[in-house]
Amino acid sequence: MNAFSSCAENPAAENGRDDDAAAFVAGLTVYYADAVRPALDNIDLTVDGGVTLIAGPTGCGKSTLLHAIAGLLDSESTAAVSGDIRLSGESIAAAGRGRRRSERVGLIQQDPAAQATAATVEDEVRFPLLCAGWEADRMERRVSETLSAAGLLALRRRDPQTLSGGQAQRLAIACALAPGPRVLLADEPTSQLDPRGAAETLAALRRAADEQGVAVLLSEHRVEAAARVADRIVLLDRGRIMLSANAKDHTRWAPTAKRLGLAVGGSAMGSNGSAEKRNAPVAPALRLSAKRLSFRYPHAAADAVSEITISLAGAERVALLGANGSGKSTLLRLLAGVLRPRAGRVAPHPKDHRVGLTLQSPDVMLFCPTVANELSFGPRRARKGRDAVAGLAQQLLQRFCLTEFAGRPPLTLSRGQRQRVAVAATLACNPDVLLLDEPTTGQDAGPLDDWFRVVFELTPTVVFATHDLAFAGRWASRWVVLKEGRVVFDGPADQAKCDEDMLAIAGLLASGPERPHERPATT
Amino acid sequence: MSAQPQPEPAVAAKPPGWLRAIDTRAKLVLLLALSIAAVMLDTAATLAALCGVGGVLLFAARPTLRQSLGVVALLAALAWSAVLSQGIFYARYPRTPLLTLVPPGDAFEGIAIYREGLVYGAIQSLRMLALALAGIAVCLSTSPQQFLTALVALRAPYGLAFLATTAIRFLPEAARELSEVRLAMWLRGYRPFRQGLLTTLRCELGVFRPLLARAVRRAQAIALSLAARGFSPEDPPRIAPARMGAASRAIIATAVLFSLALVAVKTLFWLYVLGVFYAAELRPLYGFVREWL
Repeated sequence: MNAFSSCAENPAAENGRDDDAAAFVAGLTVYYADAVRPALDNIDLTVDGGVTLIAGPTGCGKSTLLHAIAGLLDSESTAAVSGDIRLSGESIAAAGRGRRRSERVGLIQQDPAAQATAATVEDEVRFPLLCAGWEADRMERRVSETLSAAGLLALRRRDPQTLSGGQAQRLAIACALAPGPRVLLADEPTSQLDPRGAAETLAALRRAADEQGVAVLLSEHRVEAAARVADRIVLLDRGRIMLSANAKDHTRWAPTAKRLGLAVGGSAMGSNGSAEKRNAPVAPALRLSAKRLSFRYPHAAADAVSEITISLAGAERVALLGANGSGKSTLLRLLAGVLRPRAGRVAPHPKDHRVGLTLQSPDVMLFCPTVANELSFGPRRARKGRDAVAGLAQQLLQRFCLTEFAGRPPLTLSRGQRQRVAVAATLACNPDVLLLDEPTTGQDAGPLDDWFRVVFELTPTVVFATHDLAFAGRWASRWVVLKEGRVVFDGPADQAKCDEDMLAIAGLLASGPERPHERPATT
Repeated sequence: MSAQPQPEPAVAAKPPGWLRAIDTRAKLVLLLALSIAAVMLDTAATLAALCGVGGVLLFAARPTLRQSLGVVALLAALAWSAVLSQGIFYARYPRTPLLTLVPPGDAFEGIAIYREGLVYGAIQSLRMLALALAGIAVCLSTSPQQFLTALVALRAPYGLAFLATTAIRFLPEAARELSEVRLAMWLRGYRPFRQGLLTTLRCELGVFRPLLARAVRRAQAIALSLAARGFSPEDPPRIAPARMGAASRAIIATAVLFSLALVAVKTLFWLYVLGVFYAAELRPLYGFVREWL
């Protein structure tokens, strides 16, 4: 009946009892109000174990599919849903509602911090059991078992907001698994994590499938890494299943994934000698230098950055790499003059030249009523003439493919579009040096490369902090690698890529996907 | 489903203290008793003693140095503004001018700082300080989860209690986002008042757009997360709080008895002052209330 359920790897399909599978979807179509095309168009899918990777470009319907299977679309009043969804043979109308929903299906989302509502890790795990009405003794046993399995037992009294990204996402997985569902839905759970956190998360999902027999549906942008822990891959585009294949059969699914704009093929750290990353002719003038910079946040036990010396020559593209908390954002803020160093100095002083900084979250940078206003905000503050401001805004709208959104409120755009507006608005201030803090989060490789090409055309000197080694490999000629606030490498990108020990020490090489069954160490 | 006993979660990563060990219901009852006392008491000495109780509670909550300095700065500013405004705008008689700010004219009484106004303002400030100190102490020593458990145990609607405690939990995040938005504006050249009042007002109001959008997105994420975990406001989980310890019970009993006694003696005194009821045997009590309460 459909590409996926007819696969030989699916025993339920072989036995002709698809609708008893852990998750069974037939003819699922979802329309959002005012949408010109369906978010999902006649989807057929059967999953009865293992890890199934759902991949596709932004807006292809991955999240909608997972929310529909979780029975959560009824709460989104703008969605019209048709088709059959069954969990272990039971219609989603019954299985996906009420207090016992979590015993059938679990869902984890992108942002681990936004999912936690309790004050301690153990309360967070206890909450779904409490909602499902478990008895106290059984509940306490289950909380301990779940925390132990997730490697979080030692952290049970910690505030979830103080966990690292990987720990927080493991907690979210533990919460979803605690009531013992047969299906676990993971909606881009690694998109905001560094490689080590992403590896922890993917390994935890693989363990859930192997040790607890849970059928995991995982939607991901990092297709290559996720495919290593997956059994099957389903590629979606514009609400339709384009391909369903064995995840290990790379040659079968990779061409389609590449055609959909997903980052596949080549080295995990970008292709060596790529023309994309070559700098414009290096200008002899030194643009910016920082000497022995140190900074400590109030009440912190250690420096966020310590004794960092870095100099930026003209027309340079520098990737700032490091695990979460390694000091990337702090260093960018010091270079921008937003933070005052405890020791050391930046020369010339940020007051004496124009430094553009785009913050990690595009949302906090968008405060004007329309996209066009957003692009003219900076030039207006610089008291440029009305015609000059309008001309500059128009030029940026065209270069960043934002013309059709000029009159739209920027906060109503997609994440990738909002990021583009934030960067274009920073470039409107005509900076000498552009600093970008995690500009790649949650975006497809294809569109990202397109608008980054524009960024590099408009600004010769760019420093960007990222977790995405492939992106850094494609675009940066120089890598600066940070670990615990100190520079552990500063040099040509090609040299950095060869130094796997250094990258591993800095927490940039994810060991998880290659060794998915490895249990993360209890912290 | 039967009610299930739930251990009260500990506040993570904070030093222990006796106030943290007290049951949240006892802390809320204690706060209520202090509120009643702050309204009922009229003399500066007893209100100062009440402030002392608030101060002891704050100390027991073991605030950090930064928190302590923040509380002192905030309360000092509030108290000073209350005393000064009452000193200037005190309208009752008799009143004794201490400092004339604007001399009186033919049809104008002038503006001065009055001694009686300062005293009145000081008494009102003491009421406010006592409550603020105790309230801050309870907030510092209680996690949102403990508040939730206590409010549900006190028969507050679960949906509202959950909403309130979740909102409290994300307040620091909203504050952080506010500073990020202001930073983003600064990075793009905005400086308050540099381009006129109207531009400044327009820009300042713009701060709320991203804050609102982030709040809506966060609310959606939390709602999805809660729904996926089986939470339903129509059929909330039944939480039976942990068994209350002897100390917490003693605090509740003392607070309730103290409040009842205070209300009773003040009522008897007011009945006597209004000429409604008088008993000669209660003369020592009338004297005590007049002198101390």
